[in-house]
Amino acid sequence: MNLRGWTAWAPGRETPAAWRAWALDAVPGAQREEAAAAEAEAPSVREIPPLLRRRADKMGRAALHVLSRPELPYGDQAIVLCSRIGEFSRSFALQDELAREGRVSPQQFSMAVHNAAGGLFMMARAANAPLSALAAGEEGALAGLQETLGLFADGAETVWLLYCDEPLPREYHSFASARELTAYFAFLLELSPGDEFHLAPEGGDEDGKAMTDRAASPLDLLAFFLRPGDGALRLSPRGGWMLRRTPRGRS
Amino acid sequence: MLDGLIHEIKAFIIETLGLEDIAPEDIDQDAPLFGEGLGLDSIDSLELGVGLQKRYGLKISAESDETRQIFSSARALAEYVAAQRTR
Repeated sequence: MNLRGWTAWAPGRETPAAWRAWALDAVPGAQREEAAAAEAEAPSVREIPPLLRRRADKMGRAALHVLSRPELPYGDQAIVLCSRIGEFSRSFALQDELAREGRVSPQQFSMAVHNAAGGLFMMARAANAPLSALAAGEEGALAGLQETLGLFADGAETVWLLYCDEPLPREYHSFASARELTAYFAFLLELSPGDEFHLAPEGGDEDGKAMTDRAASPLDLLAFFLRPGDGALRLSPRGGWMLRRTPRGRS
Repeated sequence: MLDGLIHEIKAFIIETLGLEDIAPEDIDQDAPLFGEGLGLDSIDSLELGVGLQKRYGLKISAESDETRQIFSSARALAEYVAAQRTR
């Protein structure tokens, strides 16, 4: 596959230059959350009509923001939305409201689905392209690429692969896995069939990267794409798949 | 009296539905709330129904000609609230 374009947003990291600088320092697997992520304000998303964007919450607005950047115009391609927990703060607030009042907001309930942010974007663009929404636990980075390759096999000329997440509500922080889920971000990759990158089964690791016991996160994936010197990214902890960059001169 | 309530109803609609960039003055009190006019949809009508119950103690049936009349404009909604409110 080839990377044709990308956009990304996180609190305090809003320009391509800021993301490139971040990628240079990013250590795979390191905690990259900002302490302020939970309180960070969502982008304003002026590109989406008010009647639609009012329904998007924190993660949804970040997603709509990266989907709406003028430097990467939408071309009616399929979108793969990949999020580990989605707009979970909305679901949690709904459950809380149900427990306290015995009824919930119909508007909030209507948006409490995993594909909601992508749906709002499609409505704003009056698009009818396919939209997949994935929640693949720790292996979201791999799952999004696999879904994208599936769409290529089906004839897609380009795919928009969107990764987004928001911090879990404070009430969940006593769970160990919740401590990993503190990042607030959205980024979009425009991918097309090509040979710049390929998924390869586990084999000899010429890049000398040690086996890890964790899957690559979506932010690991973005850092890999933004660091031209990186040859491979281990996507799966159990062997399985590597994402490899074709060395220049061999493509 | 009704003018004050109409303004209150407009503010209630804006707050309940999270209408960004809209002030009470922007809502024509005689214009339709749904479809043309303000451009609200069926989910908004459900949201307003729940909100009216909480705020004014009103119970509005989901689908009836009377409901269409109540939601036909901000003025019609204010008139209904004035007549039927229990809180």
